[in-house]
Amino acid sequence: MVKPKSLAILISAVVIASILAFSILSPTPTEKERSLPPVFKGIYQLGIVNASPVTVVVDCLLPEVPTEVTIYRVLEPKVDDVYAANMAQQLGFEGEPVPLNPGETREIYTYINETHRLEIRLDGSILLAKDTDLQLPRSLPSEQDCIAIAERWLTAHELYSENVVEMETKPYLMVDGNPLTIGVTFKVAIGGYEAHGLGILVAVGESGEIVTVSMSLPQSEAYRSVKLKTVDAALGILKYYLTTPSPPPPENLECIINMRAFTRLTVQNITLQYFNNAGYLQPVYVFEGEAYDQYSPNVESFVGMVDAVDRTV
Amino acid sequence: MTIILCSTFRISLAYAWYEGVGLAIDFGGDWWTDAQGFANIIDNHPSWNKYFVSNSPLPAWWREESYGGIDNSVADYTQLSLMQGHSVDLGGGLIGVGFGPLGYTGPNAVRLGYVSPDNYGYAIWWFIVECSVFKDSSYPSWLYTLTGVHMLLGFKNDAVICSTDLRELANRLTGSGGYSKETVQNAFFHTYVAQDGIHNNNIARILAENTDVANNDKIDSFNSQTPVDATKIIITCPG
Repeated sequence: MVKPKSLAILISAVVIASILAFSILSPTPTEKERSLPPVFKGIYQLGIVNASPVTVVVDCLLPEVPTEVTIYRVLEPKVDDVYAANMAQQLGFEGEPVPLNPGETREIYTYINETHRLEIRLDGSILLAKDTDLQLPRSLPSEQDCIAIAERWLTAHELYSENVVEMETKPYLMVDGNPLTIGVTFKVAIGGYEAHGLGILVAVGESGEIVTVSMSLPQSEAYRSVKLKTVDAALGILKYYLTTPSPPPPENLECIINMRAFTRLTVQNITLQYFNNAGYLQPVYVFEGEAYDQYSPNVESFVGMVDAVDRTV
Repeated sequence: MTIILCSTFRISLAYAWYEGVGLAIDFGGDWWTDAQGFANIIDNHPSWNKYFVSNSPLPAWWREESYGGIDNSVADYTQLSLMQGHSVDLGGGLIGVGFGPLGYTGPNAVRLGYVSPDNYGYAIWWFIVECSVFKDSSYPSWLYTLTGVHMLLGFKNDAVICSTDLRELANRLTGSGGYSKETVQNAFFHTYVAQDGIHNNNIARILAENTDVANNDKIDSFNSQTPVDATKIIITCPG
């Protein structure tokens, strides 16, 4: 017969052993897991109050996606005086950057030459821009020529990325419906998926002049894997954002859309892409299609992004 | 309710210009910090003075007196005003400027500049950081607002913003923080349209009185009474 005291000791030992075993087999979230920020942290979709609900029609196959994907951590370069000077020289800018006024903190390095300004951000992204002259060009290069001109310029300045997976052209700056420049967008991929909105944009103007270059190509390293929401679940979230009459609060955004004041959306393409924000490249579902509004003369291009990470597990 | 009125004298001094910043009351936190930062950076630029910075602005501040507003003592008293908030779908394809639960205004009630109905106004630029106010079905109605104000700067579609954008815009306008001073047009486009993964789906749109003001206006270089006629221009980026 087991004595009560011995029984108590035995039960205590079993409980302690169970707790130890559980803690070894199911560790508490590591620092890495805890620190993953919301995908849309610090950014906001301004939104529209009182917009009519949008009818959503899916006119494409839902994509096959894995259950898990890798999240990447962005490796920010050390952008200092030397880095900025080297980049400026690479792009043909001489001299010193725009000085700071007394008491200011440097937000950016800016170099000026006769025609353009070059901005080097502290995250390594670049803007090269000519001051706008709204005079309509007599002629613009064809879209194919614009691509060739942009590629030549990027190659000559050692900026062309090996990760470019797709090119797209469309008017960049328009006055009264007439294009002043044609934008060539070089899209890049990371881990086999497009990096949404990252890459290089080159705006080409009259006589093939390079008017604007906007480039963001962050370096990154694999961080950890995450489970994905299903496409159906993401579609449900998109529909919710397109039917609620009030904009969502800025905290914990799950969806970002490029328009809300219309009545019918035909989804023509759904892809998994990476979204760069708050130091990480995290997966989002990207819904693209046509937005119809009875009051607008044109069908508009719709883009909606939904957080693809299943944050309930 | 927080409102800072930094000038109580309605005296137009030579080379003394005023800015006013409104943030809808349903925003807060980092967005309020950003709005205050915008006003502070402009205020630090020579000749500029903070006139109002409010996180509970009212639509009446931008409305003409004959439509029940008080713009002569607020938005039309300042050379530069900015409103950030959620826009309002007014039906029929028209989008109004929203002020959260404090209301909204449509274009029919807003006339900014020296040729407004009462021939009173100093407004030069109005930044409208709200969604789709200038979508294709809405912007034509807003053209009537250009009664001396040089430019209305807003968006054709739903804008995605960062909580540092207003300060970047102010730095670009004034040439501070390492930025070089830009035209008002370029400062707006370069802040809100970028190939950075966040702003790349934004379509910014400017309604301007003419190409001269769009090409040349800077924060300390503008004609306070540019000629006003029936022709306006619409600049869109990207197209």
